[in-house]
Amino acid sequence: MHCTNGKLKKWQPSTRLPTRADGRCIYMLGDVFDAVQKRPWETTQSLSPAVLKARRQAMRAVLERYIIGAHLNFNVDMKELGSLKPDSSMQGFWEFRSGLPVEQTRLFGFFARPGAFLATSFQPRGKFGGMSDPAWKVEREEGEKRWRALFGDKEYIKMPWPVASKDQFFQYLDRKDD
Amino acid sequence: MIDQTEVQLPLFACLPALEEDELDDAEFRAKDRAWAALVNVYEERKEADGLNYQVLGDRIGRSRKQVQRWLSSSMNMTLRSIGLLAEGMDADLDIKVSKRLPCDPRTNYVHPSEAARSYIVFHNAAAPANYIAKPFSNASSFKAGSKTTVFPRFSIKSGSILDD
Repeated sequence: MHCTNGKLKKWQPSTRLPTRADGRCIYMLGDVFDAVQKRPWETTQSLSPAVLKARRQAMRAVLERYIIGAHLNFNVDMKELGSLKPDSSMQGFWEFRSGLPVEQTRLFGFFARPGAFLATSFQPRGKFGGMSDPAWKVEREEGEKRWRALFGDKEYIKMPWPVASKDQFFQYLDRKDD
Repeated sequence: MIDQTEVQLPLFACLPALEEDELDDAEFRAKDRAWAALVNVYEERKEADGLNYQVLGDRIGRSRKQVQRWLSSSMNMTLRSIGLLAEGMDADLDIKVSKRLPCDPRTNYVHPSEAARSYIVFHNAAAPANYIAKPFSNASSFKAGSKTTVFPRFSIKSGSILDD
């Protein structure tokens, strides 16, 4: 798959060696990368510096587990947003998730191929209401626009769908084409 | 002929001080890994044996809400909660701390057949510049005085190294 040169940055776990392009990777648009690298992360709540730090660490830990192939919990660490109550207008749109007790964060995007995640935005969970909030669909539409700007008519992965089991989840993560 | 003798790694004087992100991640990594593993066991037990927050809470003398809080986020983990949850789920803790190799192949998960046929160039701060790791069918070896390190074919999943 080809994309416009220089538009994407590869996120790397801090203590690991450079990741391989044919393994599990997270690519980010420049502004998304900057938002993820920034410290502390923006929040809609008033939090102490220590808690803000832990909030950032929690999401970074999930991203690291994804990349190195450690435990990933389906629908806890990662979720396909169209699958829980199947909604095809959200199909193919994924989020990495960090949990409570502080304001959660979400890294949104699409899979270019199994294991190659392209992050199109990074947001505090407080920006969205419940799952019926139209803001989720707006986020996906914006993400899709960013995808199209990079890849034109090349498609991200949409199948299997809905993603209802661990096996289906791992079909988005692990390559089977070798 | 390949020298199978393991060569001593550069000592800590050669290693750079950890950067801010590395320190942050190191602080959090242990409880995050423990939490992810516990949630994985909980989900398995829930599916196979009907475990739920209430049953687990009753077993370890904690409320359903407390158990749910612990299992909802790595941020809530402590050594005490890790121990209690593992015991409550009738699971053994197996904590392993492994020394990092000079050229740690655990960069990211890749399909075994892909790993086996690929040549990888690492740039490792802890090792001389431009270490080259090549797939190899026997045990790993580090050749003294050489910038080339030969690795076995490998793949990584769930934190373990599997010989191909």
